[in-house]
Parts: sequence; C-alpha cells; structure tokens
Amino acid sequence: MPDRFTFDDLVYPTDGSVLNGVGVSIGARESVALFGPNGGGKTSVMRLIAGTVARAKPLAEVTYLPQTPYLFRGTVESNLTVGLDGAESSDARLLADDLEVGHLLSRPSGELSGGEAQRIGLARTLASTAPLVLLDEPLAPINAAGRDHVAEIIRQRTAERALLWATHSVEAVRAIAGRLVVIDEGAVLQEGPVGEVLDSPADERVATILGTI
Amino acid sequence: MEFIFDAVADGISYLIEFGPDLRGIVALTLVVSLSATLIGSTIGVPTGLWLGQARFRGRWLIVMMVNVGMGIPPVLAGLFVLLLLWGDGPLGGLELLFTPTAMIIVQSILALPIAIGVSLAAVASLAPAATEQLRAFHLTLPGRLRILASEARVGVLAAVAAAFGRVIAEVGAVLIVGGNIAGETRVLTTAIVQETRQARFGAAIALGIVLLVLSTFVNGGLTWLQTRGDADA
Repeated sequence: MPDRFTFDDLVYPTDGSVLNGVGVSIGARESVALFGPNGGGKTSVMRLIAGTVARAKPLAEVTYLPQTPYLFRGTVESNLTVGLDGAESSDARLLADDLEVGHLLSRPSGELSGGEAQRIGLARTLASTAPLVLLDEPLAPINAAGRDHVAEIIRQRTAERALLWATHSVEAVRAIAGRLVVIDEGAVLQEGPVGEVLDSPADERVATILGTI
Repeated sequence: MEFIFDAVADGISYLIEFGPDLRGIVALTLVVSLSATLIGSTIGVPTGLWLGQARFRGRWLIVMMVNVGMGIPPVLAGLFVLLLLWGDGPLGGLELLFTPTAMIIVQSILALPIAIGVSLAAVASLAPAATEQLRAFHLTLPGRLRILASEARVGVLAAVAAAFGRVIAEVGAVLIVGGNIAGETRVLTTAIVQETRQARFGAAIALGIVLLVLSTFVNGGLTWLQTRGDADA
C-alpha cells in the first residue's frame, strides 16, 4: 500500500470547465474532507479518481460510494455483496447489521427508502478492502438521528485506510476528517488541518463557503 | 363480396384439415424464425448491452452502422447471402443455397442489428445513477453485462421480440436464398405469396391466420416475461 495517494492536475472535462487542474493528496491513514458548494467540483474529483467518468480508468485501487444511492433489481443482499469476495461479503453483512439494515437483506431492493439504500451502499463500500475509500456525501440521505452513529462507523472502518469524502456538514467534518480541502468553481481555495481551516479561512470567499453551507 | 366469404370458408376448411403440407410449413417457419432469433439475440443482446455502456473513440460509427443495419432492406440482405453462397461464390462450396440453413443465416443477419439496437437503447435509457453505480463496482465485463441484462430486462425482451417480429414477417430474403421449394424451404410468408399469386385465397387466408397465431403466441410469451419481471422488481 502506498504511503500517500496523490492525484495532481485533475482536469474535467477536457476543456477544464468543471475542474481546472485540481490536486488532491491523501495519506494512507488520513481522512480528507472535500468541502464546497454544489457544482463546485467535489463529485467530479471523486469520479475522476474512481474512474467512473466516460473513457476513464480508476486512478488507484478504490472503493467508491456515489452521491446518489442506487440499488439494482434483485434482493437487497445481492446488491450488498455485488463484486465482493467471500470474506468481504461476510463483512458487508456484519456492517449491514451495524448500520441497522441487516434485517432487510432478503427484501426486494425496490422496497428500501433512500436512507436505507444509502446504508446498504455504505456497508458494501466499506466492506471492500481497497486501500482508498471514496464517499460522496455519505451522510446526506441519512436521517439526522442516525448521522452520528453512521459517522462513527465510517470513522472506525476507515481508520487504517485513506478516506476522501465530500460533504456539506461542518459537524461531520469535525467528527471524521483530519484535513479539509475547500473547493469551488473547479479549483482548490484552501486546504489544511480541519481546525486550522475552520478557525482561519484564507479569505472572505472561503469563510462564506464554510459558514453558510 | 361473395368470393371473400368463400375464401374464408375455404381457409377454415384448410385449417381444420391441417394437412402434412401445412404442418411442414409451420414447423419449418418455427425452426427458421426461432433459430435466427436465438442466434441474433445471443450475439446481439450482449453486444448491445456492452455498446450501451461503453465509451470509446469511434463508438458513434458502430452505433450508426447498427442503426443502418436495423433498416436494411431484407432483399438486399438476401442478395448478399445469395452471392456468398452461390456456386462460384466465396462460400459456394458449402452448398447451402436453397436450404433452411441459408434461410437461418440471412434471417440471423436481419435479426442481429435489431437485437443490438434495441438492447443498446435499453441501456442508454437507464438512470444516470444506475450507470454511475455500475461503474463504481469495477466489475468484470461479464459481471457488468449480467447486471445490465437484469436491470434493462424489459428492453432486452423487447429486443428479442423485435428480432423475432422481423424474421417471422420477412419474405423477400428467405425467398431469394431459400427459393420457396415445396416441402423443403417453403415457410408461411413465402407460401402466402405463392398461394396469392395463384389466386388460392382460402389457403392464403389460412396460412395468414397461422402466421398471426404463431406471432401472437411468441410475442405474448415475451410480454408475459416482461410483465412478470415488473412484478418481481
């Protein structure tokens, strides 16, 4: 496993209209939050690294939870274990229990709510042993009462891995992230340890983003 | 008007009799149409599913060729296969011209672009979140195709139904490469042409009814599968 995952000069699409040369670096056991307004480029960073944009390949060995949870036709369990090996599948079932959706595994996937589908997606993503975990707005579809619990499981299950996640929540950033990258209009505005960035925004624009989103 | 009633009455008698000639024609029609649908769909559906989600340079050219293929006049396909299988042609040594095998070959060629094109459209119409999630799984190609076939099952079954609909209704290509030889290469559509030319309208009506029943039966089965899939989802 590499000591750091470093992605330089991310451009998307080819004309750079969404991302214009963004660079992101994540330590092997570091949690980095991408923070910024909608349309600022967070999801594009995730997609480029995960290789889910057109004509792209993953830039590292990753496990990736996209922004919108989607379950394919079949049982919930078939969605939970798709693409995982035997040991990872067993772990995914344990994670589903931890995330309070273990009792739903035999149901048709179409019966789940958005929040339940997100928990299944999270269980699958975290059960993969890939060394870099990418989570795009992992807490957004989770109801407020369950967010702390889900955030704690994310923190536990990524403690020994690299985690890059996109979020809108300052509370979640404080709970999970070690480092914060503020991004808007396809460019990094400021990055550093969470406390440092939150306490000392580089300029008014960053302060506005951190304070109002 | 009276001749129409007479023709219908003749046709009903012909159907009730259901003699060996008619049985042979029905059997050959089913063998040729189902074989061609099976071959065209077995190759065309996975190709369409793959093409629907793949992104590469020159993809538009392949998609355009598929679309052109969907509209290719059957007589042209028939002429192409005839030239290939003709005695002095590149595959003439196989001596397949005017056999059911030649008819299956040309029908498969006609079914293939339909199966590809409709499957491709089914994948292209999936929700963007489904496509994104599928890419995020980083599966092998067979794994991706298996999920796509299940997720786009209604479109996949429509592809099979459309391919079958094209081949069972087709007359020009099978006439060219099969020759409409009684007892050997005569199928329902070419038999209808033959009977109509000879003003045996009763027999033509009977053959038409059988064609309609076969088509309804197969498409009804596919529709049942589509509907059952919806109920399971």
